[in-house]
Amino acid sequence: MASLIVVAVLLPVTYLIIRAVGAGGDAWEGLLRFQTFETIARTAWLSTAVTLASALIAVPLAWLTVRTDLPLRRMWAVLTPLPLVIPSYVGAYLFASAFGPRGLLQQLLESLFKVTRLPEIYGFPGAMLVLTLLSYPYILIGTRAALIKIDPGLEEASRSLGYGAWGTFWRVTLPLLRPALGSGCLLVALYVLRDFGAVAIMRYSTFTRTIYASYTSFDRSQAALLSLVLVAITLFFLALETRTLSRAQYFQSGTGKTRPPTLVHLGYWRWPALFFCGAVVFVSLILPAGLLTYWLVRGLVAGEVIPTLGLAAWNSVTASGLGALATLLAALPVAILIVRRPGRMTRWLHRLAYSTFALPGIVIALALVFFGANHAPLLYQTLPMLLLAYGILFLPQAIGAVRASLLQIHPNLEEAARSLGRHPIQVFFDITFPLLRSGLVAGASLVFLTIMKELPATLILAPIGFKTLATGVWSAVSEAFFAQAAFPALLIVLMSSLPMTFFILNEQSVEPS
Amino acid sequence: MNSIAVRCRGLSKAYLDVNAINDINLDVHTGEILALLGPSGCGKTTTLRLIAGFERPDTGQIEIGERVVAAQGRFVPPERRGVGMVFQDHAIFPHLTIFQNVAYGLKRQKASQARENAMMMLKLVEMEQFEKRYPHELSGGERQRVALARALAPRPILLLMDEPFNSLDANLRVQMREQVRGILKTMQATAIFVTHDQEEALYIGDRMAVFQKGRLEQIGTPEEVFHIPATRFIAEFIGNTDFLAGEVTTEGILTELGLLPQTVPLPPGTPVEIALRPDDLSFEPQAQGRAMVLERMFHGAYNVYRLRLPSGRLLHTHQSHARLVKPGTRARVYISADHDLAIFHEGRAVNHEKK
Repeated sequence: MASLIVVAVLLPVTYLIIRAVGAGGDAWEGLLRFQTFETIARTAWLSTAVTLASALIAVPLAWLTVRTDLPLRRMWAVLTPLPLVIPSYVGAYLFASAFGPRGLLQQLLESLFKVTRLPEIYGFPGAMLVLTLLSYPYILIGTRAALIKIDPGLEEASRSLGYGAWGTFWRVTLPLLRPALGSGCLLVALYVLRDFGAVAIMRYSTFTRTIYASYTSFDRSQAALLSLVLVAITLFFLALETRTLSRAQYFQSGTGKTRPPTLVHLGYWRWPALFFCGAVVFVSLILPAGLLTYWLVRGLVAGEVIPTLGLAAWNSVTASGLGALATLLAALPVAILIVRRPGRMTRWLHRLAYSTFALPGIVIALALVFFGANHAPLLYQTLPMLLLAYGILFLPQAIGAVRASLLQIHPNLEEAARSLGRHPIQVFFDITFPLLRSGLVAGASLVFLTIMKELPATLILAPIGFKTLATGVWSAVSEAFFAQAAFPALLIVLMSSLPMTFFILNEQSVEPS
Repeated sequence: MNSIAVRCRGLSKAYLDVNAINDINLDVHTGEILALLGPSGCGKTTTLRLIAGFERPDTGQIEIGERVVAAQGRFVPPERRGVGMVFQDHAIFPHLTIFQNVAYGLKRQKASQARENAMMMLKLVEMEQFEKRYPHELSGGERQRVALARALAPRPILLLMDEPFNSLDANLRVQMREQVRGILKTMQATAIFVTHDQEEALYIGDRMAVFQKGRLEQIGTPEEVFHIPATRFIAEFIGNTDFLAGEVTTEGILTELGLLPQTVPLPPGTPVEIALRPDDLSFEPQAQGRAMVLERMFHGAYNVYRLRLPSGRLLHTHQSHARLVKPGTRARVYISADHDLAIFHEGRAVNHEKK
């Protein structure tokens, strides 16, 4: 059964490949056009730039909030990862509304100083700004956790062997952070590759935007081919990270940390450090929040709330709820097999199930469009089709959640029940499921909230007239009705803040005070 | 007398919790191993970290090799002190090979020379065949030896060891401390060694310094500290000591075991306490004896007997593994020591002779 689920998940993608390979010569020629290479270059350039900029923001932030006597250290530690809750299209919408031509900033400057032109925000600068500010937390969180875990004795050993603070940072601390930094950077790079909302709103034609453009202009073979190239690039990034992990293991030495590290005394450096933290929090958090409030108030004053807001919210909840349920039900057998029957076969199953992680939402959506349009016209543009897309997109996330809680249930418990005369199926319902329940609920909520934020697949696959909060923001922004987008955007941000709050509370409780 | 390798004068460091130290004065001679002994939280590790340069003293001065490294307005960072350190959990860099770990401190040497020196150190600790391994592939004892080789490779003028055998199991500890002492003596290294294990301190230290509650209680050779403890605390901490109450008389000290013919410079009638180690007393079964054998604890090589005196005081004595007396037997207990016993008045030794 688990294998069937995984095969079902991979089917649309396989179909996409077949379609693409079988596409006419025109499409292949189209693929080899100069424009394609331009798209590749733009995408790669944006990913690299955003990843580098994120690392440059995140590593100093992590170090300042973990290792120094920075004033209000705990507050910065809580605030700096928060931009994670803002979906990229919401962030892009807010920045575009403020800094775009005829945007808020320009209106303000025009009334004050008669400035009529601002540097262009659309294109690369806007996309890079928005994506960097929203994705640096991916690097920050992992780096902070790794920094907290490093045995302070390692750095002291380096000092006693003749290296100063700076030399020790480069030769000991940074190499020890490398795995965390590497996976954080990979997450950011993949985030950029997959992102549709920010690049679409900022009008920077990376793969996702080009694919969407081909799709809407009914150049579907072209879209399929471009999707495959995007998948190839994503796989390349994944392979890159696997390769950078060398033979050196990053285990803690000895019995683990015995005492918190000595905090670095910042002295007068605390002023630039405070300015840095404040600037990052202001631009990535306070500014978007302020803009959102501004549009909200303006919309309320003008009576410009989307008339169908209630319906959109209801649609979002329904689609996300059903999607989360379906995803989790599909994940359960796969996770059980992976945890309880380890072996060569299940390892492959595991990898295959996780491989959809490399697939951007827009690619999965397109694959289902092709599949549905040609072979399942009844399903095409129906809710089940959308749910299937969600299932494929978020299966790895759900498997991860189920697997984590399964691993905490000792197999002896199930074996004890067996030895007391219960059938395996009874054991599942009597023992495994009750113990798993809280983990399943947590996993389902996480998937639920992630689905609620999802844009590209919803945009392409939702039944005609099926408006959700995410597509509501999208359509309002694409017609520059910024005030109309504010309410659904606020709801989405609030929703996605929930797991983040939980996560921060959790991190605070394990961090040494 | 050798020259002084480390001189601490009036060292104090305050913390909010334990580990604070108060007015520590300490000299370490060149080529000597000094063991810092004390219960956890007594300040011995803090003293070590002050000497290493990981902490700054609140007051006081530290000299290493006649150079002031910490004083009011002067602080030499750890990397410029020329002091090697072996950490409690070894702190082997997990991202470097064994060879790279040992060569880490040799950055000022040419590559070929650094290689030669690092390999020499690995040979000294018998780890040369592991040079290409990573730390996680080694056992605890092997990591311990790598940590020692790494700390010694730059030829530090002083080696500090912070409970280095703590993470090893009991058998390995004994084996490692013999090896480490051998290596330190071969290299004629000056070393300070922190431990809370009295046996380890007695064995490894040329001299030992006993700490309690942030103060240095006594410093001397292990024999001096063992035989002539300066305070009741030290007598209690080292050597499973029991105490017997007594009263000073002109002939000696009167106790429930009779008169101890040992004079002290105190007026008659003063209450004192006598330190009794398990080998300082013995007993004879006697039907009309006023003490009782409570328990026999078999340790293999010897028996430990727990005795109850008429006052209810409990004493312990080591006896031959072949001597078996049933618990419940009445006995006469007597002091069998062939040396003077340590006597304390208000916690301080009254017969503590300065040598």
